[in-house]
Amino acid sequence: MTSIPLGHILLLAALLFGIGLAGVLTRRNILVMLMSVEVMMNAVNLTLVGFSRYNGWTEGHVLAFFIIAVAAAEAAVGLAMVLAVFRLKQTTYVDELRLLKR
Amino acid sequence: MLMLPELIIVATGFILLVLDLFLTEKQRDLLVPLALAGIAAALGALWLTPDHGVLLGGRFAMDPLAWWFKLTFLIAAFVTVMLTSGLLESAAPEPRKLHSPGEFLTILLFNLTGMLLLASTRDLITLYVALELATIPLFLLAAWRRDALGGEAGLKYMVIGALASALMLYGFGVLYGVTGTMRLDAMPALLHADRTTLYAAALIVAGVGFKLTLVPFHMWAPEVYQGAPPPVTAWLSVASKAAGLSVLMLVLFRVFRPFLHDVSFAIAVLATVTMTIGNLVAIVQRNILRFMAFSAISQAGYLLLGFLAGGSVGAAAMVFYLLVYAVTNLSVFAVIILHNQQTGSTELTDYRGLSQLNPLLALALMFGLFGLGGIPPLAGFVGKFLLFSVAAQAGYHWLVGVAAVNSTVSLYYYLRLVRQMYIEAPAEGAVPLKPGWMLSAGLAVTTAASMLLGVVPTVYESVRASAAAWLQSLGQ
Amino acid sequence: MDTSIAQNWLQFHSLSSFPLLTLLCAMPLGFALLALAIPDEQTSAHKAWSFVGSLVTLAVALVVLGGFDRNAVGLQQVDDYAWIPSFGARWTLGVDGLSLPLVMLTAFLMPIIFAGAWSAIDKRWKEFSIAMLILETGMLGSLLAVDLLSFYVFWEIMLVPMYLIVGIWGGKDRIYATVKFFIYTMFGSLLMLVAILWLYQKSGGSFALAQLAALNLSDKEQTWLFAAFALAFLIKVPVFPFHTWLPDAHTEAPTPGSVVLAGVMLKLGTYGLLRFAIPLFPSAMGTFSPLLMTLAVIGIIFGALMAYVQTDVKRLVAYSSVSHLGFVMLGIVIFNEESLQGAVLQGVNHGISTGALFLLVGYLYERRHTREISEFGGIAAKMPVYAAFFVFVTMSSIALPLTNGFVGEFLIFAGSFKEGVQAVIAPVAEAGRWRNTVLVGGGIASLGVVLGAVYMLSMVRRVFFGQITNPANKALHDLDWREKTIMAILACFILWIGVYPSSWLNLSKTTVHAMVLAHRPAILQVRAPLDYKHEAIQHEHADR
Repeated sequence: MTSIPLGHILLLAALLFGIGLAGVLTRRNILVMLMSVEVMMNAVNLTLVGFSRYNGWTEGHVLAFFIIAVAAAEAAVGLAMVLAVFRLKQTTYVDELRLLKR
Repeated sequence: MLMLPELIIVATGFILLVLDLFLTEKQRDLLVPLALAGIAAALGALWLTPDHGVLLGGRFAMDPLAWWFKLTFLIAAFVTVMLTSGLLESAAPEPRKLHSPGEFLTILLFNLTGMLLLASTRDLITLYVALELATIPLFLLAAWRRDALGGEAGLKYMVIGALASALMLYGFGVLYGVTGTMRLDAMPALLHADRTTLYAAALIVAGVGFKLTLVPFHMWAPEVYQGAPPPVTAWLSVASKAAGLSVLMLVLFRVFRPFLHDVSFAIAVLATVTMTIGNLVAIVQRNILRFMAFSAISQAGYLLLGFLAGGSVGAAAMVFYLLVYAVTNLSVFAVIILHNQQTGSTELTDYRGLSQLNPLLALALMFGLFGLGGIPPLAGFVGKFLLFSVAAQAGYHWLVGVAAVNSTVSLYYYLRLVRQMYIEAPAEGAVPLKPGWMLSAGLAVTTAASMLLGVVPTVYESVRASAAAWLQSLGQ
Repeated sequence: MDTSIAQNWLQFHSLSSFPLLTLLCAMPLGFALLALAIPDEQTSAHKAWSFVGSLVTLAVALVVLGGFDRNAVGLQQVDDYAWIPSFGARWTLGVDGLSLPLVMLTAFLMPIIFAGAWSAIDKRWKEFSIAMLILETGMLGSLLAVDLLSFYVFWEIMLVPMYLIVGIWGGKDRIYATVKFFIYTMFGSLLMLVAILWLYQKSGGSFALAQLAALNLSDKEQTWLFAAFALAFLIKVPVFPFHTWLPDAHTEAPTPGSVVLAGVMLKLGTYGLLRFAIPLFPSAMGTFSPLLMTLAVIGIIFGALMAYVQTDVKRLVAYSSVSHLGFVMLGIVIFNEESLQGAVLQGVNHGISTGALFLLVGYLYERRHTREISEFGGIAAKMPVYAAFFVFVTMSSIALPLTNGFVGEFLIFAGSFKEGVQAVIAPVAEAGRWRNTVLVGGGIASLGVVLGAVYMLSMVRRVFFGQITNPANKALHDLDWREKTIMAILACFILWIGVYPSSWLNLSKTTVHAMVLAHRPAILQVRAPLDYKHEAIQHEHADR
């Protein structure tokens, strides 16, 4: 079984990262923005795991686990706040949250 | 023993969390002194902690500069809790009261733990975890009031914070791929001056840039500063910035030190843009919290000057300025917090006539603002002077000129507030503010420190000695 | 012999065992801090306290004067301590013939200012006395500091109290005036800070004036650094075209503010040039001499013409300051012994005379709440004592013989004349250009003396003489005992310096002599090389 070359994995990760970045910067729905950040995080995980796997290192896997765990914590905090704001403003679009600009 | 301050803070956090369950609303007023006692104990422990040594197989290390960073974090936390006391107590005025004091303090202390750990991390994994612990709790604190303003601030902060950590993580990933190690100290030998290294450095600096509010990564700051409760803003502007600086110093001095000289021009440009934009936009602000946000942005620009010279002088100048900035900014925020707590306003013009209503408060605020503006003999001047001299030493004389012009501009807008306080007459029916004793004590201590740090050279001398020792430890 | 004098003028002549100069600086600050303890409402306590504070400071200054050796070269009674050792910053205060007259002027004017303020300042006395006392610390410190960092610290300390004095107790447009003042001065001094840092790096970590003056700087460095230093000082003087903040600040400031501004703060600009800019960058001074000369002369004429067309008495006096300081600048640029003696003395004279004029204008304003010349006329009949003092001070301002103004201006013109004619022996183009500049400039400047008489006398005529046409002036009452005492003291000084100037000139004689020996050759070498050779030959002869 021939394995996929490292370059391909890194390229895929870079593409995912770019897609995620573009999503955060262009989308206006807060949930979609959060999802895009998750895509970026997973692109990073892919990079780390790819490097580790091909070179036989271990630490990359460890960091990837930590990233998954922390990202979950972040998502918990984020979704809690989205809920709180939705209850007050009935929206998840950042453009409609315009109190803070004067 | 090396980790004692961190352990004390974590323990205090858990004690508060558990205790909170068993206390009535009134009894919760005890939580603030308890938190203060915990931080004071950690300060005492820090005093006894040796300033070098390693734990956990080298993943956690003390060095002389980490000691100063931890000191700054702990002092900032102590003062912040003092300043927040008035809003946390059960008798606080209602719309501005911060509910659930137990949880508030616990989260603040966990956040503090993240920052304390951050200064001691020596590999990418602990760095990442500590950094997130120093960041995620801030989102919650910013949204503490659960009103529309706070929620919006928290949300925006979180999305941008998550984006920043994703960028930085990608930089970590690249770095790891190139060097094959997570250890910061092992990296310089394995890195080459090529495009990949630059790439990783740029991603990491961008990620930290959000935390340090460097332009163009600063746009969240004014909105979060404005929407968060003022004590949280104070904490954010001081501790979060200090955390950002400690990461930047870890990364730039430990990992990219061999290439620092090559990118000094880029750092100079970043510093120029940051201080200029911060100062120019601050001029037109009418809300005092946004005003302080742009002031904080420009201060970050001055701080960057310390990276222009790789030696211990630059590091010492940055650490000293950070300490000075922390006490000075907190003294300014003490008055802002009190004013907001009792009037509910955050408008600049509502400070008019303060010198006639509360002469001492106005005096302290004026000293704080002039300290930020860098008027001698206040400590802010000495700090800025040291940073400017680092830039001059590195040959960036044009940058010193730019920074000098920027200081003039900054004085112009700090004077706007001084003018409101001293020259304008008080509004009809305005009543003097009544500071609680804890806030008064916090204000008095920070104001005194922001004056004495400039005149009494002892602190700078010991920072300088620490920086020299730290540089030696880097060389090995 | 000569060379040792030249080398020593920035060195320490005597260290003092007791930190007397530090005490002198700290005295007003100490009184200001104690004033914090007096409750706000006790206005008379604040009045008395600040007056006593300034008197005690004057007493300390007199002790300094008593211990001053007029014939010694170099800085005396020096306090020299390490401040931030690893940074090379020191706390160095010293006094010599250049600073002592101005120190005495400051210490002497402050009690007068406080006494004059009793009626001029009608609100918030606590803040006023504290701001004023801190300002005095700043002024004394700037005059005494010979370490660039501590000098800069004092230089900046002066800004904030002055900002508040104009901003809180000033007139209608006070905010515009005070912000303009602050931004102008701050901008100038920050560029100076950049230059100080450059020197600091160049010297390898020192701020000591004597050490920095010994640096070997390239011509280009000298030019730029001089420009940065000079800009800070020229704005403060102020020299045309950096003067625009002055009329606004003067007009809007309360009387005590105007007096302190005219009396001392403007002189700090000329003092700074002499103490720092020229010793540090003598050859750049040579390069800039023609330009500075031109600006000084333009300032003299422009100030006089502007003064002539003013309708507000205070604005008129403010513009006359621009004109008078042009003379001081002229004396500095010429840089020979006579002209420098004149410049130092004229600084003191201007402080006394213009200070007195501002006080007098203030008295009138307190009575009528207007300063428009057209509102008055013939008031000499109602206020004879006031008119007598006013006319006397006017005489000093237009430099009539037997008043102080005459001595100062005479010395400056004598110096210019000497500079202009001595080059006649070397009739070559290079030397000639500078000589012509001096002769033409001096000629035009002497026109300024005439113009000065014209605008001052015409104002005096319109305000004091003729018939009383405005009924509001019929109820005017003359000076009371306090106002008379203040004026009498100032008048005594005007007469004293006018009749017996040597007592003041002797203070600065040795220092000026040493300065000329130390820096004139370098200046001359650039602006008039042939004169330089000529003078060098003369010196050789004298040595033999």
